[in-house]
Amino acid sequence: MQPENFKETGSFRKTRFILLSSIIFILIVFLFWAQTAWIFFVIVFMIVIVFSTMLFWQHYAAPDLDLFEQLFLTKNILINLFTRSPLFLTIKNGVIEGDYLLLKNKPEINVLNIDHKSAVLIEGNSNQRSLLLNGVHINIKKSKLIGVFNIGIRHIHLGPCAESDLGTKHSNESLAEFHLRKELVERTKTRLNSGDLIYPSFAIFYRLEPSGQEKKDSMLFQSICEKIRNDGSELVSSEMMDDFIISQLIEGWSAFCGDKNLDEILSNIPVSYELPLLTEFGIRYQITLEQIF
Amino acid sequence: MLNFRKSLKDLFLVNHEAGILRLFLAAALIFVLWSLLAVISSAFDPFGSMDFRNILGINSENLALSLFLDIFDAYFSIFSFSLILMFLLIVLLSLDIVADFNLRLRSLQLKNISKKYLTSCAFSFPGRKKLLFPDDRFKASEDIFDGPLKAGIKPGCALLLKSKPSYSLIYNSGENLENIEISLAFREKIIDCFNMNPASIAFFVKDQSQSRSFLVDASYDYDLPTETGNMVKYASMLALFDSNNFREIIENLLVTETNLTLHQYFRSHPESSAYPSQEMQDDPIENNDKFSKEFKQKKYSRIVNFYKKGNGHGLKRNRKRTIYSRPISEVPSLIKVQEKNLSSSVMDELNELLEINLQNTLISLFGTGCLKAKILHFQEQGSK
Repeated sequence: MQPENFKETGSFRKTRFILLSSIIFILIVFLFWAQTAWIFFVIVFMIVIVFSTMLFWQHYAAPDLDLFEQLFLTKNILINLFTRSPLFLTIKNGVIEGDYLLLKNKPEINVLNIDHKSAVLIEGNSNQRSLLLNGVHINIKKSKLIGVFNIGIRHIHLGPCAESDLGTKHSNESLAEFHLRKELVERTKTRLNSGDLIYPSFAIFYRLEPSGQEKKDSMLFQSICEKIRNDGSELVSSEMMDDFIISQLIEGWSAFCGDKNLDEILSNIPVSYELPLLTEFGIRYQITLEQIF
Repeated sequence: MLNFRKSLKDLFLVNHEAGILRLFLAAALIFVLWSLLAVISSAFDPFGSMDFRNILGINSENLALSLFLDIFDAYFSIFSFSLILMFLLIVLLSLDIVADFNLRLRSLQLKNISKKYLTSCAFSFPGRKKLLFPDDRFKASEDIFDGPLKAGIKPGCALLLKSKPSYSLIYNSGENLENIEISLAFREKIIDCFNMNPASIAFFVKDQSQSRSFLVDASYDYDLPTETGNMVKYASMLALFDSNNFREIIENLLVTETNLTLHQYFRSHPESSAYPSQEMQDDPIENNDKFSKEFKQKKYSRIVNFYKKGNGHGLKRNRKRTIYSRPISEVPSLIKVQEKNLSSSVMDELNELLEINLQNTLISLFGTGCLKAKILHFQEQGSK
């Protein structure tokens, strides 16, 4: 009996598969060695049984797929038993699980498993782009991932939270934490024309909202991707979306500051901020300039 | 064609009776297949018979016994027996492969759970435990939270379910302090479990133009609709959150909205008694200096772990620090404040304005209002 916390590794699973397959193979060879006429019958019998039983079990594992998708999935699962490439990519909270992004030569992905808070923009053979939402998506072979988005609510706090955030490294702070804090603070650093150096603090809440209309959504997310992907990167990630919104905000903030002095700026705080480009993209957002350090 | 599809769908229905029926059908199918192989074996005799007469040493002239031995020979011939054995092996092997696929699809750790899920769906095999939410296994992905499943919900908790085509929410308001029992159907899935108990927070908001800050005590409650249509909207809104950061985001949103509301109110009511402070007007430079010390404390005091009580000398900084967390709960007892309670009419006006602002923001963000918030206590912090 397996202990409760027993975790099966990939190699163990493959070993068991090979063991069972070998038993079946040996049985066939042993029994049908001299009976070549029956070999064909047995092979057909086996293939039919393998596909039908797998379809049966698969129906309960992925019930939303239709019969042809199930057949395609069965084929892929069987092929995957003999290859090293991953069978499918899982995207959770707008993040691709595993090391797919790090791989120089990206493996071909046949199945995409997308959670309810993610959306994926793919490009097919004929350069046609489509947006995939929650569910298991089959038959995306030869499609290219263009963008992976988090369609849940996002909250970003930009700028310092307290005056201490502007200081040097604290004794109880790791170097990584210090650099993270410093980067967070430095992003909003603004020097006014009057010579004052200020650090505004922003609270950003936003979410991308697919309308449910396939064509409209594809167009919308495609235009977002094109706007964001300006550094030649292959795949737009949800972090890039955050960065895009932050850069838009900083740009707007710099324009707002213009030739204003500190008193003029302080007299308007806190204030809700509007970014026309985000409204144009149909992004729901609430950006507030909370305080200035 | 339509009827055929419907019949095919009915064949895969997932409920207890259908599972038992499928189990009998599977047994019948195995028997039919075995019989078919036995017929082929007796007709063509591919590998020869086991000849049980010789093995068992029976040489009967009894017709019934002879017939029985013939049937036995056919069923247990090398051909039919080996093929039926292979069939069973393939069934197990395919279960193993699909369980593995299911395991990875649902990011599970234990294959046994995956197999139990598949067999209980297919043949109503027992083995799936009843779960009581909130459950630690949910966050650790240690079980499958898809139907068919029986689950209990503790008071104050809400389960967010995904069933095609939309989301739904089952909330235990906890009126009787009893758990609610629910049964999830196949294709229904538990997405998340939220704690919906009302809560209160205390935080500071600052008015930098007047160099002052206010200590605000506010409470919030989730505004659950009663109509089905609105409930679906509400559930879709909750699906945008993660139970891990749900409260954090809601509280941050509330702090931001309260901040905006207070400033909006005081800008339109500059004559309000609590604003501006007399001391600030008397000696702005000195008080600003004093204020900056207090102000520093206030900013830090937004973080609970950042403070500890000093030994009669006000506050001492705790070495723990957090960059992001803002809402606090213990600050009022720790900080010396100059209390300037607002009159109830001002408070009512403020709460009214907060409700309008909060609803507008929630609707613009989520398409539905989902929160009721109230400022309970409000103090201007000054220097003594």
